[in-house]
Amino acid sequence: MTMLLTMLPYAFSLSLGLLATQLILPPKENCPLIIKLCLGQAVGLAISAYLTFLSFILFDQLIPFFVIFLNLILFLTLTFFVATSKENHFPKPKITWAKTKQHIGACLAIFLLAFFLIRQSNFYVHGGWDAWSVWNLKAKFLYLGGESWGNMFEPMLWRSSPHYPLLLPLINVWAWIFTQAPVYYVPQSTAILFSLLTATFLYAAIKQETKSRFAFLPILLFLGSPFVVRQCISQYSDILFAFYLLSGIYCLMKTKEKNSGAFAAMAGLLLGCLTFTKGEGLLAAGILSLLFIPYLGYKSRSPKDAELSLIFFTALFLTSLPLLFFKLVYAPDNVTFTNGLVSQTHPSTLPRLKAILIYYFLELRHMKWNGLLIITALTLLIKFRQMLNSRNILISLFLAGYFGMITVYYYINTQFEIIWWLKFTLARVIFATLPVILLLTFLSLFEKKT
Amino acid sequence: MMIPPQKSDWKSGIPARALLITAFGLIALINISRLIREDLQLQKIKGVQPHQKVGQKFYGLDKIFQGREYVGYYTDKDLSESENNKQFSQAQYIIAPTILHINNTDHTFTLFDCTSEDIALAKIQDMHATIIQKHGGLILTRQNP
Repeated sequence: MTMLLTMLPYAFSLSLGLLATQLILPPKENCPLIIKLCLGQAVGLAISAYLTFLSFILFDQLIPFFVIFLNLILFLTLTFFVATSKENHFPKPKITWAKTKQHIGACLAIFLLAFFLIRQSNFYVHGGWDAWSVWNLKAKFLYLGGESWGNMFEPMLWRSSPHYPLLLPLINVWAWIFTQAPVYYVPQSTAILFSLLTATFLYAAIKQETKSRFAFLPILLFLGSPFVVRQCISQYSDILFAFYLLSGIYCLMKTKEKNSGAFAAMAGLLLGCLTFTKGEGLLAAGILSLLFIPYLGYKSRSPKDAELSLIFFTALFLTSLPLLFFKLVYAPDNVTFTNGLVSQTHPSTLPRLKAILIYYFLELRHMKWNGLLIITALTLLIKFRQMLNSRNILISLFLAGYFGMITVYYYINTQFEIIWWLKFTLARVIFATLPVILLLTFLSLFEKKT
Repeated sequence: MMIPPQKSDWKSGIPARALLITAFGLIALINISRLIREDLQLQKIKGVQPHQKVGQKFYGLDKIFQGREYVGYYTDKDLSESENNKQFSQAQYIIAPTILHINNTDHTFTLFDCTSEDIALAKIQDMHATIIQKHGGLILTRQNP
């Protein structure tokens, strides 16, 4: 019974998300079923989390009945629209052996590695340090705090980074409504789910673009790495960031390839969710927004570019509203920031910058990656031209811009001793972008020469 | 008849692709073997401790503090040290949404977590507070009205 109650919110959100995805990406967009399922689950959970947040905005506390009611109303509304729409109906799935057998390797890889992921997660049930001191702590305040939930923004809780956005805690709160207690296996389930969604989506995207029989290899590299598995089950927001970033970038690529307003809307939606995962999410979405218009026009202009841009930015704005509201109304200032450019006591110095760059090099070689980053870098060097083609250039420029900005942040924010800070955060920054790095690597590697 | 020069395989990139795929495959194999090894070690640990315990010595305090927004947390430990910081963070997680107010003894309840019991008792005497319970090095007190 407990298991059923744990699974129910995820299953409900999946249904909600599939309906929303079906309306945004109608059958004519030919989006593969695996990708739609992954998007449906992630979009559905984000919608349910946003509706949960609405309870706090309107009533200054969690009203479970209100949240469930809103979700049900939305579900029924979307069902009505899908059922009565001629072009947004669910098509009969055309499952044939020929189509299925090409995915057997990937399915086996995911099942096998999911086994180890779940086993490890069943030991580390409370996740990593930042799970109990940040993310799950916030979820407990939201779930149990009543009208005092806002106490989580108190300055004395500075260790819990009160300025961080709330998508992950809200997803867990949504699931706790069903279990009626802040049970540990809800955050555990969320972490496992997003890990599997990320690996599956990565495979599906590479398979669809390249048709390579080795498309399952990134699953083995991602979920087969002990370090990555530890990060996946740590119950941090990094895995949410990883999924929404990966899926958002994929949808941007499809927008350009198909001149599709539907994919532009989905990309905006996913990147809007990305902004609400953590601070880096806003940075990543910002960089992608800046790159979007030039990317659309790169090597092939279309009269629809202006329309696609409007759709993308509208969707992005609408789904970023929770973050906007959070920042304007609730979030305190970031007290863990010292501007080294103006600080007399903690200035940003050249040795600090050198330390950062040297540490990047050391991280590439670190045993925890087992040479993965080195071989990846080598692949991208060899396939440099493919990195810059009209499809992949978005990812290349994004990664360059993102890591550039991260480096600047490490340099400017002198609140923390730099080696200590890099030691505890750089690997996680790389982990969160690893699916996108693998996407670029394998799209470039498997690209057929024309 | 002159045979036209063959386009070098290296130029066409096929061996390079095969080598890179092989390299990635090897990395995957090494990773998975390490993952299996770690899993086996974890299963041995599970025989002794079924799962991770977080803030175990603070279990039950959330029930006592239910409905309270703040509780004092008196300590002489250096919270900038990793282990002390970890313990404090775990305590905060267990009793959330009640907030542990560091080194503030003005609240009705105060939790003493000191390096020695003598230090805690001296402060408790100073406060004229009543000891409610002692457990695992912790002392919970209540202010006398």
